[in-house]
Amino acid sequence: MDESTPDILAVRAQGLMKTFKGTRGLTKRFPGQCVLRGATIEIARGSALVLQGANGAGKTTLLRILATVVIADAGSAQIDGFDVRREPARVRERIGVAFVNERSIFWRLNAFENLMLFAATRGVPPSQRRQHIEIIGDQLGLNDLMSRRISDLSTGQRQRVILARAALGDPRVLLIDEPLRGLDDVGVEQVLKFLASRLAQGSSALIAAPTVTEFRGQPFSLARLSEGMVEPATWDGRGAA
Amino acid sequence: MGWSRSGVIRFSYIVWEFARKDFRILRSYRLSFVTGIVAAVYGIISFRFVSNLIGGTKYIGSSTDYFRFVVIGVVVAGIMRTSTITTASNARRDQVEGTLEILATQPVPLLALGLGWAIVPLLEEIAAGLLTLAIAVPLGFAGLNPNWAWTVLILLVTGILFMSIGFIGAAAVLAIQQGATVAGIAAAGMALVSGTVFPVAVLPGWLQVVSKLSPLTYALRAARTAILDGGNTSKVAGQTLILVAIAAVMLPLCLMVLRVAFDYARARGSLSRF
Repeated sequence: MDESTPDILAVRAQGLMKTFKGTRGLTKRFPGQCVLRGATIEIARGSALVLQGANGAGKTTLLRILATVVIADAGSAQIDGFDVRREPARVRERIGVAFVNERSIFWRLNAFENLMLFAATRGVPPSQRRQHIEIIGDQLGLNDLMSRRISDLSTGQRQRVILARAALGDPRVLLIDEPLRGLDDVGVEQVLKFLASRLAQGSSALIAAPTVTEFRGQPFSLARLSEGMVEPATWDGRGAA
Repeated sequence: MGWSRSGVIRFSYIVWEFARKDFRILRSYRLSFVTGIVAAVYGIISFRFVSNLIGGTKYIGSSTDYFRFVVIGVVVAGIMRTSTITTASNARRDQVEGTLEILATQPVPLLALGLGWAIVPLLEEIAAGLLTLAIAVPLGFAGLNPNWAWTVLILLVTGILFMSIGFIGAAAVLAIQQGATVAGIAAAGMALVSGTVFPVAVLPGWLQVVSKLSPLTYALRAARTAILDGGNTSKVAGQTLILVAIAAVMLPLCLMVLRVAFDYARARGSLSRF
């Protein structure tokens, strides 16, 4: 596949369906949960889409499918033209992921050691890793925190480390779950600037969030995930675009 | 990532970074290594007295005495246990903490991920094993004819072999979350039938047949030959070759099982499960 083909979308998902199987407890069986019922989204290269949805709407599941860690029951999805199910290795080379889980970083390492580890997994050449991390750290206001253990950071600081990790290796597509969670006003501003600068550099992004007020005014599109389906939306709240 | 020269270099960098990560975490728990050594010393001293009690070579059917027999058994079984159980328990740790899911989004081969779970505990256990042998010298382990180069090679191959079996435990972690338990049961079973602290010859006939199916039997045989009869290079080489052959079959096989379990966990959405 020619990666420079202009009409290939950064993210394309069609009719994604996912039901998580029920579990059996000691005395009763818990029913399965249908999370996605045909979700479809398209994001052009260099664009960002904010996906709004209530808690439990399936935003994270959709992100996980695109990030190759959950397999959909039906439908298809491609990142930069590569199928998430059939070509997961190619997809992983192109995505930067930030899930809502502050335990997803190694708490007994400091921020710099965490980022060095993931710079290696992202394929950043050893000679460039330090500088690469400093540039991203600077954008997210992390450089003064680099020598501190993750366990000693605040929730908002950890969130910025997680976002910095997602940007390592300058991935073509960022898949980010609730990027503003736990951030103070300064942090929110830093992260929004950071996301805009990533778009300006040619990355694309899918951002999931339960509330979207802070994203208003940013160069992002908006969609809503409800009842397992994605519907286009506008920032003025007047329904479908 | 392909297996081109650049792919191999990148693979090595990733494994190196995983090892550094685990080493840093290990360093932050300094006491654990020391307590492990202290426990090993207590064990060795106990076996010294047991050896005095049962009297030299009477029960082991070879020219070496029981103390020498059992020290090597304890060291090799320790490497087996660590490689098998720690691989599975580290996979479970990453699953519970949520780091497994994020590692699964990285362009990293599954083998690198598996090595990342195993390599530092394995090297730590080999170091502890060699230290245990050194501690055993003044207690009656001296006067041997060891071939140390072959010994270290055998311990390494033993580690790789049982790390492969640990991948099955990691696969069980991904599938049913109980991998460390499964790996622990397998390790205990192997230690029982393979001639760790008593010779296989004392087992009932049917268990002696089972012992032939246990890879630990061959690891113990090779290690004992290298340490107790190291001058006999052709014998040591032959037994090492058997061990290498078992590892060469087990590694890809167990990696395949891990891959299937990984896809199963992706389908169930259980890469991150608390």
